[in-house]
Amino acid sequence: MTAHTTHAGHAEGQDHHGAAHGPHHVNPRPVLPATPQALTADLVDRITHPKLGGLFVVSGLLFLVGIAGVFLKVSGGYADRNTWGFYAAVFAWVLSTGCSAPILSVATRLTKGYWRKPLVRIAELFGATTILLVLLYIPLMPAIPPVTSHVSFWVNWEGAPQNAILLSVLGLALCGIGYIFTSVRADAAAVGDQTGGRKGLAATLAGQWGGTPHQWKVMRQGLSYLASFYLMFVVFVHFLVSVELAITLVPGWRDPIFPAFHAVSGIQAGLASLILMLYAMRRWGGYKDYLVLDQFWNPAKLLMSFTMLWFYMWWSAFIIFWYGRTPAEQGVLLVTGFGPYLYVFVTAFILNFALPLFMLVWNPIRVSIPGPVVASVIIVIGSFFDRWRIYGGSFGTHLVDGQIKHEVPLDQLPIFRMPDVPDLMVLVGALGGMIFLFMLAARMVPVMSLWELTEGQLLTRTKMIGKNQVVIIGKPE
Amino acid sequence: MQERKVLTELQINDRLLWPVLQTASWWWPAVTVAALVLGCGVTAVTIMVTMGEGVTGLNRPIFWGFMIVNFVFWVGISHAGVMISSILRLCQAEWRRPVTRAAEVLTVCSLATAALFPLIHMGRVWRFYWVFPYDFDRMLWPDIRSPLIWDPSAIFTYLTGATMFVFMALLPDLGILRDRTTGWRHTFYALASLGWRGNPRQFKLQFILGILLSGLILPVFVSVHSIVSWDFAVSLVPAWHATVFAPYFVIGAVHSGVSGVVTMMVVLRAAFKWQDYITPDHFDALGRLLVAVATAWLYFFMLDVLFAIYGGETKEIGVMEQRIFQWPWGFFFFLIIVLGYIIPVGAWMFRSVRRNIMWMFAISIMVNVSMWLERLWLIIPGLQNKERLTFDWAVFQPSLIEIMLVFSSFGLVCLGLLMFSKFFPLIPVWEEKEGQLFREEIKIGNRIVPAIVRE
Repeated sequence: MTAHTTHAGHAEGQDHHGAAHGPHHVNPRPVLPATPQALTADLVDRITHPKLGGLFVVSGLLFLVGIAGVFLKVSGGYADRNTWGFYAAVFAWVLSTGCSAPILSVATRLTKGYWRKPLVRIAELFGATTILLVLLYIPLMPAIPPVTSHVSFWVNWEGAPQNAILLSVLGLALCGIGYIFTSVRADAAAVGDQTGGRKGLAATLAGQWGGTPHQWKVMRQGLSYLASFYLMFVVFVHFLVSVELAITLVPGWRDPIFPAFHAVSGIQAGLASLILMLYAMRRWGGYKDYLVLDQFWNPAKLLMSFTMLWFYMWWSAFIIFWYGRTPAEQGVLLVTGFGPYLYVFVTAFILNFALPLFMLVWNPIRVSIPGPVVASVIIVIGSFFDRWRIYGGSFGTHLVDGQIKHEVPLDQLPIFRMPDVPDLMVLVGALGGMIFLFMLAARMVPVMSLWELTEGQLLTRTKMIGKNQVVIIGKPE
Repeated sequence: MQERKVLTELQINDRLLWPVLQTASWWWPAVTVAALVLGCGVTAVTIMVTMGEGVTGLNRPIFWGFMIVNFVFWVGISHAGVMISSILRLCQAEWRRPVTRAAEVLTVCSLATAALFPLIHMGRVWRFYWVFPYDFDRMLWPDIRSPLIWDPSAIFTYLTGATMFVFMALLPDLGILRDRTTGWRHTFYALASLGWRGNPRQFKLQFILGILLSGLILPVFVSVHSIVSWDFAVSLVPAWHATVFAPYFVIGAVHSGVSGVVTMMVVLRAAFKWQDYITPDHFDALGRLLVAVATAWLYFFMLDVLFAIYGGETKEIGVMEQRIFQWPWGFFFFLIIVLGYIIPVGAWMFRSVRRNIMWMFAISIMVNVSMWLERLWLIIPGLQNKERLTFDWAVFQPSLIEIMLVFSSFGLVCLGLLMFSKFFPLIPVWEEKEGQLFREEIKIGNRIVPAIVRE
């Protein structure tokens, strides 16, 4: 592969029908090598010569900074719960960005979206970031108040919230890694076979894969089940985290929509993270011909829908509290946005809703590659501010006689706490950790789903109707 | 769509336009039955208006009963059209084509029916104009902070949008009907088709209008049932004052509305002999969609129940205890879960059930029984909880008048659909023809795979 030619010898700016395009033209659909064999050979070549080595190293270093930050946080102790609010926000942010990104793979796989094929593996590889979620959670456990100090779903089962969240994040991690493993088996076998025999990790991942109809059937069914489980696990973990690390800590906060808001805003941030990684893979990872307009435009439509849902969910809660105006509800509004964390909330509101919606509503921005990428950067940043205003405020509330009394309205507002150096180290480390784990996984398994791209190639034809070229997509099921 | 048959334009015209150009033998008897059922409602309203609301089971503190339950139910059913038509159009789901028109018309008929119930419930129907700003001289204005004022705005906006949606999609078919009719019907279709000639520019404009309306109606679609939910949620009534009500009502409405579409599709398929157009594939696709919708509904349902208990507030616990453990509400709770989720989703998991027309018919009715009960279960217990003052305690027992009103609302919706079917095709003729153009097949090895065209 040279810098000026793409796979299978197609010149840059030419599709496989030979049609020439201008230098800035972006193909709406991936331009794949002509035959399945050429496609496999091209992708195996890319997989065995991975790029983005610099990012891998830098993210690894940032991850180490984050580990040091965690040690500094733990050495600071747990006496003041307020000091752990920022850390909890980072934890929830990782859940919302990296761990929620595979949802696009899950959703498009279940709905059989034809444009998913080049991006589905990249989304799945975000499942590796669930390991970071587990690692971040363990130091946070002692900062969570015991179940006996507040009303709870756990009916005084001691250790319940801590252990329940631990089990759920472990389950999520297992499901995420299992999802990658199941999806990658056929590809690992293909890569192994093309590079001189199945050895090492490729052999482990491929197992006894022989591509029999039975194996394909089992794999497809397994992927459907794992996709459904992953979706349910993500929603469940969002439920537990939002309830146990936010709602139960604030007196009088009874907000059934909040777990749904947390999940929806998490999926929004997950989509944004995925779009950013797609861009990195396109721009620097060598997948310019695979990740084209379709792979940005279609997620951008979903991103816009989730941006509107962010507002809808937030507004649905706000209007009830605003109208109810009980002392408890006024307290909740002050803790989660209109009190000491007002500026954080306003920033989150602008970055999560107002600005991305204003951008994505315009066709020229949405139907482009830079537009969704810029909106995604804004949303990923906004997502952190959103988590900070929630968990910063929640962890800052005071106990009354060691208890969080839900029947007693909030008598004292939390104090706004600026993050200190260990907090910022944890934040930087979490960002680095997510990228590092993704890149590590991307070095072990193919970034493109070989079998799905091949399948897509077999099922896709082009045809001229009048003056328009149309794509014909086979729907075997 | 694997079962799509190759049909010529002539065949499509013949099969889809015959209910309009001829009259089926069952049509007049069906209209008579629907009119008689509606007559029960007219009688009930007449009695109620003459004798006052004392003839209903409403009392203090249960001011909202069957009429409001029915209002919420029909607003819910009205969510079918936009869900099927607008969202599936934007997603380019090919299987939507024969389903869209009937779903849109069901939306209009059910929404118009729903809008009647708050009026009837007012008792003094002739004072409905109080919701509008009407007395400029005395500076009397409706309280715009009240959701009871938001309701008519939302419903009339949705009704206008949904009617435009139906009309926009009807234009090409009105052109076809104009060219196949004579006399007053020709004049009517000529006027209604707005000069439709079917040239590329008109189709392009109609396509753009369809996409625009699809996008614009979505916020209205969501806002309507959200606002209906806020009728309840912005009050401080225990178990009503919940933040989750808006999305919970919307998703419940979609569950109920799409199930309503399944019921209607089965009836249309049998009544008009449209087996070539409404195939098991369509029920399969609707079944899959309903699995996702029902699961989302259960999620919000459980959030509502869990958080009512979680807070430990005496009044909330009291209402929830009544809802779950006391007769008949506990039984309704059981029915809601079993008929609304466990049986339907359990059955829809099987492809054979999703493709079995009679099973789908039975299950869709089951879902809507559950959804009607759910609205009753949500509304009444919150009002009939025990207050400190004994004269504020009461239970709700519906009167015959209210039962007649509920019964007649089904007659009204059926009558609306029957009348529509006599004047307009219930499956869009032009969409079917377009679908035939987009039909393709590709050969892979020895196998022919059905395919669709994407621009």
